[in-house]
Amino acid sequence: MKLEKELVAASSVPLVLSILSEGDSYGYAIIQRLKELSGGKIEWTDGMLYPVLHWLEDQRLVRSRWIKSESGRKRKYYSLQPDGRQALRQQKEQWTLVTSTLNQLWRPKYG
Amino acid sequence: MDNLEKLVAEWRKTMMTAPNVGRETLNELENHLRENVGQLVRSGMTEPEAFQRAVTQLGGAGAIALEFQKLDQGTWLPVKLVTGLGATAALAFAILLIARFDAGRTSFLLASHVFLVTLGYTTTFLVGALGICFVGQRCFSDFSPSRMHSLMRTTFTFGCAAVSLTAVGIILGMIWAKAEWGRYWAWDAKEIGAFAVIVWQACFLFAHRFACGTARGVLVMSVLGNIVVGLGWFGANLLYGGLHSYGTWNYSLLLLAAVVSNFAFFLIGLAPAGWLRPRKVS
Repeated sequence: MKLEKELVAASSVPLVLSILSEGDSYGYAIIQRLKELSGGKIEWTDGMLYPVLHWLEDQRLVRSRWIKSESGRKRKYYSLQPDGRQALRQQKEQWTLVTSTLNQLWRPKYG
Repeated sequence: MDNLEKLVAEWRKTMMTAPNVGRETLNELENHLRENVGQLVRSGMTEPEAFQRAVTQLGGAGAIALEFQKLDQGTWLPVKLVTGLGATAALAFAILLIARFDAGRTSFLLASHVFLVTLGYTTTFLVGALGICFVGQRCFSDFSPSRMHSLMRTTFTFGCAAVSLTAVGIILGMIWAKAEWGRYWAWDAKEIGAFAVIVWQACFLFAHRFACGTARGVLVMSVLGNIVVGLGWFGANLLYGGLHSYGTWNYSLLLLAAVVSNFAFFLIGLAPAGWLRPRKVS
């Protein structure tokens, strides 16, 4: 199943913030975590993640720093900031409201 | 592996043509590409196949650039104004001096000296004006990293222009002074002022490039440039200026007010960001 472009765009911020709430991470690992969680069903074009990460950094929701990996190459790690946790709480409330409303509408009706 | 390095180098070349994708972002994307290639090779693909798949998954230069373009907040209004003012000032000074030169009232060397030094000093004032705008806006909200980066780039460009114009202007002035007054340099008030200004401009660029100070520190520091140029340019006229004395009107109070107000802006710049922002009542 391929998600529609608009839904991918709308869900990118809560998805990234939620993954970062599990701990600091970098672009490639974020994509892998997303594939793992969705069973490979949510597929982003990898390059689209970076504008989202940079936008989150601009909004001070996340912070980045370069750290040397075991391979010797530097990776840019992102960590959630207090404003990011606040934004994630708001996103959770909104998405929970939408999904619970849809669940009620789509619940099989008996009798 | 050599083959992979060649492929990555080619890919970097293509990506570098994309606007809005800076070197740091490119390094980040390259890391992603290499990690993906490594993973695909471990899963059994050949290196060229893995590279092609990883590039497709990452997306084309145009598509990525387009996404980054959406982040671009546009140029900050004070930067536009200052750039416009700088260009207008350069044009106005040039026309004025060409008119004087044509009328035979100024030699070419003196006209060039006055033009370059005036433009160099004015450019330093423009950097200071950006510093004041930065301090003013920061009282209400902090700057985003991308806007801060763009502001730092602008002030560095203006700083480089200011020091180059002033330095060449002073050298031309020295050559003219040797021919007309019989000496290159005499440490009169105007010359001490010029020396102070160029030392300041060099210190500002040094702080910008090499010092450990923060971007905020450098931008707040730029406000002090207004005081140095104000005293070096206009303050020197109030003192006995030797051969440089132009017999101007006494504007010492105005100059004092300018110095005090710029110093006040500098002190305000040391306050935390958003200290004047209205607090929400919960």
